[in-house]
Amino acid sequence: MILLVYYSIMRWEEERIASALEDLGLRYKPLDVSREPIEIGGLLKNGRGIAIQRSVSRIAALESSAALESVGFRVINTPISIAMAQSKIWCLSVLARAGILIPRSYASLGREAVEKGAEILGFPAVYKPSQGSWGRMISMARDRMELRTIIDHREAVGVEALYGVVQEYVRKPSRDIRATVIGDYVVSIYRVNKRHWITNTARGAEAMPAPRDQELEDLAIRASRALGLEIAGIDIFEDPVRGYVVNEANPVPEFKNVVRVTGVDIARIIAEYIYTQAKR
Amino acid sequence: METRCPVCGKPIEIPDDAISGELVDHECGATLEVLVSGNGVRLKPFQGVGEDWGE
Repeated sequence: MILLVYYSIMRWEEERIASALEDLGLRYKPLDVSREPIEIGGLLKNGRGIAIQRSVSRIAALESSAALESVGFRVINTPISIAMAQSKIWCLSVLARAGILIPRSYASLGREAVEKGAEILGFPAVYKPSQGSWGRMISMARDRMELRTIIDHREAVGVEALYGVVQEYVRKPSRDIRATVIGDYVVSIYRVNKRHWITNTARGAEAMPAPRDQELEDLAIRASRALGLEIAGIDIFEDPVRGYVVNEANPVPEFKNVVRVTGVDIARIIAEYIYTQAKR
Repeated sequence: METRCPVCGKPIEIPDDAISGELVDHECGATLEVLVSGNGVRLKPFQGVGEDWGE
Protein backbone atom coordinates (compact mmCIF):
# COMPACT_ATOMS: atom_id res chain seq x y z
CA MET A 1 0.00 0.00 0.00
CA ILE A 2 1.27 3.47 -0.87
CA LEU A 3 0.04 6.51 1.05
CA LEU A 4 0.44 9.99 -0.40
CA VAL A 5 0.38 12.06 2.76
CA TYR A 6 -0.65 15.70 2.58
CA TYR A 7 -2.04 18.43 4.77
CA SER A 8 -5.15 20.39 3.70
CA ILE A 9 -4.07 21.09 0.14
CA MET A 10 -2.78 18.99 -2.72
CA ARG A 11 -0.27 21.26 -4.35
CA TRP A 12 0.93 20.97 -7.92
CA GLU A 13 3.74 18.69 -6.72
CA GLU A 14 1.39 16.25 -4.99
CA GLU A 15 -0.91 16.16 -8.02
CA ARG A 16 2.04 15.32 -10.24
CA ILE A 17 3.32 12.58 -7.92
CA ALA A 18 -0.18 11.07 -7.85
CA SER A 19 -0.32 11.06 -11.65
CA ALA A 20 3.15 9.53 -11.90
CA LEU A 21 2.22 6.74 -9.47
CA GLU A 22 -0.85 6.02 -11.60
CA ASP A 23 1.25 5.99 -14.77
CA LEU A 24 3.44 3.29 -13.22
CA GLY A 25 0.37 1.28 -12.33
CA LEU A 26 0.88 1.85 -8.62
CA ARG A 27 -2.24 2.17 -6.50
CA TYR A 28 -2.07 4.79 -3.81
CA LYS A 29 -4.30 6.37 -1.23
CA PRO A 30 -4.23 10.12 -0.59
CA LEU A 31 -4.26 10.82 3.14
CA ASP A 32 -5.13 14.31 4.37
CA VAL A 33 -3.75 14.28 7.90
CA SER A 34 -5.69 17.44 8.77
CA ARG A 35 -8.87 15.38 8.43
CA GLU A 36 -7.88 11.77 9.19
CA PRO A 37 -6.57 10.73 12.62
CA ILE A 38 -3.84 8.11 12.87
CA GLU A 39 -4.03 5.74 15.83
CA ILE A 40 -0.55 5.74 17.36
CA GLY A 41 0.69 2.18 17.46
CA GLY A 42 -2.67 1.07 16.14
CA LEU A 43 -3.73 -0.79 13.10
CA LEU A 44 -4.46 1.47 10.19
CA LYS A 45 -6.37 -0.51 7.60
CA ASN A 46 -3.71 -2.29 5.52
CA GLY A 47 -1.20 -0.50 7.70
CA ARG A 48 1.91 -1.63 5.89
CA GLY A 49 3.77 -0.25 2.96
CA ILE A 50 5.24 3.09 2.06
CA ALA A 51 4.07 6.58 2.94
CA ILE A 52 5.33 9.52 0.88
CA GLN A 53 5.41 12.50 3.18
CA ARG A 54 4.27 15.66 1.34
CA SER A 55 2.58 17.78 4.01
CA VAL A 56 2.85 21.51 3.40
CA SER A 57 2.68 22.00 7.17
CA ARG A 58 6.10 21.38 8.67
CA ILE A 59 4.72 20.30 12.01
CA ALA A 60 2.16 17.99 10.40
CA ALA A 61 4.91 16.47 8.26
CA LEU A 62 6.97 15.57 11.29
CA GLU A 63 4.17 14.43 13.58
CA SER A 64 2.25 12.41 11.00
CA SER A 65 5.46 10.69 9.89
CA ALA A 66 6.08 9.57 13.46
CA ALA A 67 2.51 8.30 13.82
CA LEU A 68 2.60 6.48 10.49
CA GLU A 69 5.88 4.83 11.41
CA SER A 70 4.27 3.55 14.63
CA VAL A 71 1.57 1.93 12.52
CA GLY A 72 4.14 0.11 10.42
CA PHE A 73 4.65 2.30 7.39
CA ARG A 74 8.05 2.97 5.95
CA VAL A 75 7.82 6.73 5.70
CA ILE A 76 9.86 8.66 3.17
CA ASN A 77 11.38 10.65 4.71
CA THR A 78 11.63 9.17 8.20
CA PRO A 79 10.49 11.35 11.10
CA ILE A 80 14.00 11.50 12.58
CA SER A 81 15.39 12.74 9.26
CA ILE A 82 12.60 15.29 8.94
CA ALA A 83 13.24 16.53 12.47
CA MET A 84 16.98 16.85 11.82
CA ALA A 85 16.46 18.72 8.58
CA GLN A 86 13.74 21.03 9.91
CA SER A 87 15.90 22.28 12.74
CA LYS A 88 18.54 24.53 11.22
CA ILE A 89 20.75 24.04 14.27
CA TRP A 90 20.44 20.26 14.19
CA CYS A 91 20.83 20.11 10.43
CA LEU A 92 24.00 22.22 10.34
CA SER A 93 25.38 20.27 13.29
CA VAL A 94 24.91 16.93 11.52
CA LEU A 95 26.41 18.27 8.30
CA ALA A 96 29.43 19.72 10.10
CA ARG A 97 29.96 16.46 11.97
CA ALA A 98 29.91 14.63 8.62
CA GLY A 99 32.73 16.84 7.39
CA ILE A 100 30.54 18.85 5.01
CA LEU A 101 31.41 22.52 4.63
CA ILE A 102 28.74 24.87 6.03
CA PRO A 103 28.67 28.63 6.55
CA ARG A 104 30.23 29.61 9.91
CA SER A 105 27.26 29.37 12.23
CA TYR A 106 26.52 29.77 15.93
CA ALA A 107 23.60 28.11 17.68
CA SER A 108 22.23 31.05 19.64
CA LEU A 109 19.58 30.39 22.24
CA GLY A 110 19.21 33.74 23.93
CA ARG A 111 19.77 37.44 23.49
CA GLU A 112 23.35 37.46 24.72
CA ALA A 113 24.25 34.42 22.67
CA VAL A 114 22.92 36.06 19.50
CA GLU A 115 24.90 39.22 20.16
CA LYS A 116 28.10 37.34 21.00
CA GLY A 117 27.77 35.12 17.93
CA ALA A 118 27.46 38.15 15.68
CA GLU A 119 30.39 39.91 17.36
CA ILE A 120 32.60 36.87 16.72
CA LEU A 121 31.51 36.58 13.09
CA GLY A 122 31.49 40.30 12.40
CA PHE A 123 28.90 42.32 10.52
CA PRO A 124 26.93 41.93 8.37
CA ALA A 125 25.59 38.82 10.07
CA VAL A 126 22.59 36.69 9.20
CA TYR A 127 20.17 35.71 11.97
CA LYS A 128 17.42 33.18 11.40
CA PRO A 129 15.13 31.10 13.59
CA SER A 130 16.13 27.48 13.91
CA GLN A 131 12.61 26.47 12.91
CA GLY A 132 11.15 28.22 9.89
CA SER A 133 10.23 27.93 6.26
CA TRP A 134 9.98 29.84 3.00
CA GLY A 135 12.69 32.20 4.24
CA ARG A 136 10.51 33.67 6.97
CA MET A 137 12.27 35.88 9.52
CA ILE A 138 15.69 35.46 7.96
CA SER A 139 17.35 38.77 8.68
CA MET A 140 20.60 40.48 7.99
CA ALA A 141 22.03 42.83 10.60
CA ARG A 142 24.53 45.31 9.23
CA ASP A 143 25.59 46.46 12.66
CA ARG A 144 25.04 45.99 16.40
CA MET A 145 22.09 48.39 16.55
CA GLU A 146 20.20 46.64 13.77
CA LEU A 147 20.81 43.30 15.44
CA ARG A 148 19.40 44.56 18.74
CA THR A 149 16.26 45.78 17.00
CA ILE A 150 15.80 42.38 15.34
CA ILE A 151 16.32 40.63 18.68
CA ASP A 152 13.72 42.92 20.30
CA HIS A 153 11.19 41.85 17.71
CA ARG A 154 12.08 38.15 18.07
CA GLU A 155 11.71 38.34 21.84
CA ALA A 156 8.25 39.84 21.36
CA VAL A 157 7.27 37.01 19.03
CA GLY A 158 8.52 34.27 21.36
CA VAL A 159 11.31 31.79 21.91
CA GLU A 160 10.70 29.96 18.63
CA ALA A 161 11.64 33.16 16.82
CA LEU A 162 14.50 33.98 19.19
CA TYR A 163 16.24 30.59 19.22
CA GLY A 164 18.21 30.41 16.07
CA VAL A 165 21.38 30.50 14.07
CA VAL A 166 23.69 33.45 13.73
CA GLN A 167 25.61 32.94 10.55
CA GLU A 168 28.28 34.61 8.49
CA TYR A 169 26.97 36.39 5.43
CA VAL A 170 28.28 34.33 2.52
CA ARG A 171 29.07 36.62 -0.41
CA LYS A 172 27.42 34.40 -2.94
CA PRO A 173 27.00 35.55 -6.56
CA SER A 174 23.35 36.77 -6.43
CA ARG A 175 22.21 33.18 -6.42
CA ASP A 176 22.24 29.92 -4.59
CA ILE A 177 21.82 26.35 -5.79
CA ARG A 178 18.90 24.04 -5.07
CA ALA A 179 19.95 20.44 -5.58
CA THR A 180 16.94 18.13 -5.60
CA VAL A 181 17.96 14.65 -4.51
CA ILE A 182 15.92 11.47 -5.01
CA GLY A 183 17.94 8.45 -3.92
CA ASP A 184 21.12 8.73 -6.00
CA TYR A 185 19.62 11.08 -8.57
CA VAL A 186 20.38 14.81 -8.43
CA VAL A 187 19.11 17.72 -10.50
CA SER A 188 20.20 21.26 -9.73
CA ILE A 189 18.96 24.74 -10.45
CA TYR A 190 20.19 28.22 -9.70
CA ARG A 191 17.91 30.50 -7.73
CA VAL A 192 18.86 33.98 -8.86
CA ASN A 193 17.89 37.15 -7.04
CA LYS A 194 19.66 40.29 -8.18
CA ARG A 195 17.48 42.56 -6.06
CA HIS A 196 17.85 40.89 -2.68
CA TRP A 197 20.30 38.65 -0.86
CA ILE A 198 17.61 36.09 0.06
CA THR A 199 17.42 33.53 -2.74
CA ASN A 200 14.31 31.46 -1.92
CA THR A 201 12.04 31.26 -4.95
CA ALA A 202 9.17 31.73 -2.47
CA ARG A 203 10.74 35.15 -1.86
CA GLY A 204 11.03 36.22 -5.47
CA ALA A 205 14.19 34.56 -6.76
CA GLU A 206 14.13 33.38 -10.35
CA ALA A 207 14.81 29.73 -11.12
CA MET A 208 17.35 28.95 -13.84
CA PRO A 209 18.88 25.66 -14.96
CA ALA A 210 22.35 24.90 -13.61
CA PRO A 211 24.95 22.85 -15.51
CA ARG A 212 25.64 19.37 -14.19
CA ASP A 213 28.59 19.23 -11.84
CA GLN A 214 29.81 15.96 -10.33
CA GLU A 215 31.33 17.67 -7.29
CA LEU A 216 28.04 19.40 -6.55
CA GLU A 217 25.99 16.25 -7.06
CA ASP A 218 28.29 14.20 -4.82
CA LEU A 219 28.04 16.89 -2.15
CA ALA A 220 24.23 16.96 -2.33
CA ILE A 221 24.08 13.17 -1.96
CA ARG A 222 26.53 13.23 0.95
CA ALA A 223 24.44 15.87 2.71
CA SER A 224 21.23 13.93 2.14
CA ARG A 225 22.76 10.71 3.42
CA ALA A 226 24.23 12.39 6.49
CA LEU A 227 20.70 13.42 7.41
CA GLY A 228 19.11 10.13 6.33
CA LEU A 229 17.01 11.88 3.69
CA GLU A 230 15.95 9.87 0.65
CA ILE A 231 14.16 12.77 -1.01
CA ALA A 232 15.57 16.22 -0.30
CA GLY A 233 16.13 19.74 -1.46
CA ILE A 234 19.69 20.72 -0.55
CA ASP A 235 20.49 24.44 -0.59
CA ILE A 236 24.08 25.21 -1.45
CA PHE A 237 26.03 28.47 -1.58
CA GLU A 238 29.00 29.19 -3.79
CA ASP A 239 31.57 30.78 -1.52
CA PRO A 240 34.22 32.70 -3.48
CA VAL A 241 37.03 31.17 -1.41
CA ARG A 242 35.82 27.82 -0.04
CA GLY A 243 33.66 26.71 -2.95
CA TYR A 244 30.42 24.90 -2.19
CA VAL A 245 28.96 25.23 1.31
CA VAL A 246 25.71 23.54 2.30
CA ASN A 247 23.29 25.89 3.99
CA GLU A 248 20.05 23.96 4.47
CA ALA A 249 18.24 20.73 3.74
CA ASN A 250 14.54 20.50 3.02
CA PRO A 251 12.85 17.18 3.82
CA VAL A 252 9.63 17.88 1.86
CA PRO A 253 11.00 19.78 -1.13
CA GLU A 254 8.89 21.73 -3.55
CA PHE A 255 9.96 21.15 -7.14
CA LYS A 256 7.64 22.90 -9.58
CA ASN A 257 10.33 25.45 -10.47
CA VAL A 258 12.89 22.67 -10.97
CA VAL A 259 10.55 20.95 -13.43
CA ARG A 260 9.72 24.19 -15.21
CA VAL A 261 13.31 25.23 -15.92
CA THR A 262 14.98 21.83 -16.38
CA GLY A 263 12.19 19.78 -17.95
CA VAL A 264 13.13 16.92 -15.61
CA ASP A 265 10.05 15.01 -14.51
CA ILE A 266 10.79 14.97 -10.80
CA ALA A 267 7.41 13.44 -9.92
CA ARG A 268 8.12 10.52 -12.23
CA ILE A 269 11.56 9.99 -10.66
CA ILE A 270 10.00 10.04 -7.20
CA ALA A 271 7.36 7.53 -8.31
CA GLU A 272 10.04 5.26 -9.79
CA TYR A 273 12.04 5.50 -6.58
CA ILE A 274 8.96 4.55 -4.56
CA TYR A 275 8.40 1.65 -6.96
CA THR A 276 11.90 0.28 -6.35
CA GLN A 277 11.49 0.68 -2.60
CA ALA A 278 8.11 -1.05 -2.65
CA LYS A 279 9.68 -4.02 -4.45
CA ARG A 280 12.19 -4.59 -1.64
CA MET B 1 2.16 35.79 -18.50
CA GLU B 2 2.04 39.07 -16.65
CA THR B 3 -0.85 40.20 -14.51
CA ARG B 4 -1.22 42.49 -11.51
CA CYS B 5 -1.07 41.77 -7.82
CA PRO B 6 -4.56 42.34 -6.35
CA VAL B 7 -2.97 43.58 -3.12
CA CYS B 8 -0.43 46.17 -4.29
CA GLY B 9 -1.34 46.56 -7.96
CA LYS B 10 2.20 46.02 -9.21
CA PRO B 11 2.99 43.59 -12.05
CA ILE B 12 3.58 39.93 -11.27
CA GLU B 13 4.79 37.23 -13.62
CA ILE B 14 2.78 34.01 -13.63
CA PRO B 15 4.14 30.85 -15.29
CA ASP B 16 2.26 29.94 -18.46
CA ASP B 17 1.59 26.47 -17.08
CA ALA B 18 0.17 27.70 -13.76
CA ILE B 19 -2.81 25.76 -12.48
CA SER B 20 -5.66 26.66 -10.15
CA GLY B 21 -4.70 26.36 -6.52
CA GLU B 22 -1.03 27.11 -7.17
CA LEU B 23 0.37 29.62 -4.73
CA VAL B 24 2.74 32.41 -5.73
CA ASP B 25 4.48 34.98 -3.59
CA HIS B 26 4.77 38.57 -4.66
CA GLU B 27 7.56 40.96 -3.74
CA CYS B 28 5.05 43.04 -1.76
CA GLY B 29 4.73 40.15 0.67
CA ALA B 30 1.33 38.87 -0.42
CA THR B 31 0.76 35.18 -0.99
CA LEU B 32 -1.60 34.78 -3.92
CA GLU B 33 -3.69 31.91 -5.21
CA VAL B 34 -3.90 31.33 -8.95
CA LEU B 35 -7.41 30.89 -10.34
CA VAL B 36 -7.67 29.62 -13.92
CA SER B 37 -11.04 29.82 -15.65
CA GLY B 38 -12.47 30.25 -19.13
CA ASN B 39 -11.93 33.99 -18.70
CA GLY B 40 -8.22 33.57 -18.15
CA VAL B 41 -6.04 33.71 -15.08
CA ARG B 42 -6.61 35.83 -12.03
CA LEU B 43 -5.09 36.06 -8.59
CA LYS B 44 -6.61 36.43 -5.17
CA PRO B 45 -4.98 36.79 -1.76
CA PHE B 46 -4.55 33.34 -0.27
CA GLN B 47 -6.30 33.05 3.07
CA GLY B 48 -5.21 29.66 4.27
CA VAL B 49 -1.45 29.75 4.74
CA GLY B 50 -0.49 28.35 8.11
CA GLU B 51 2.43 29.89 9.89
CA ASP B 52 4.34 26.62 9.71
CA TRP B 53 3.70 26.04 6.01
CA GLY B 54 6.56 25.79 3.59
CA GLU B 55 9.73 23.90 2.92
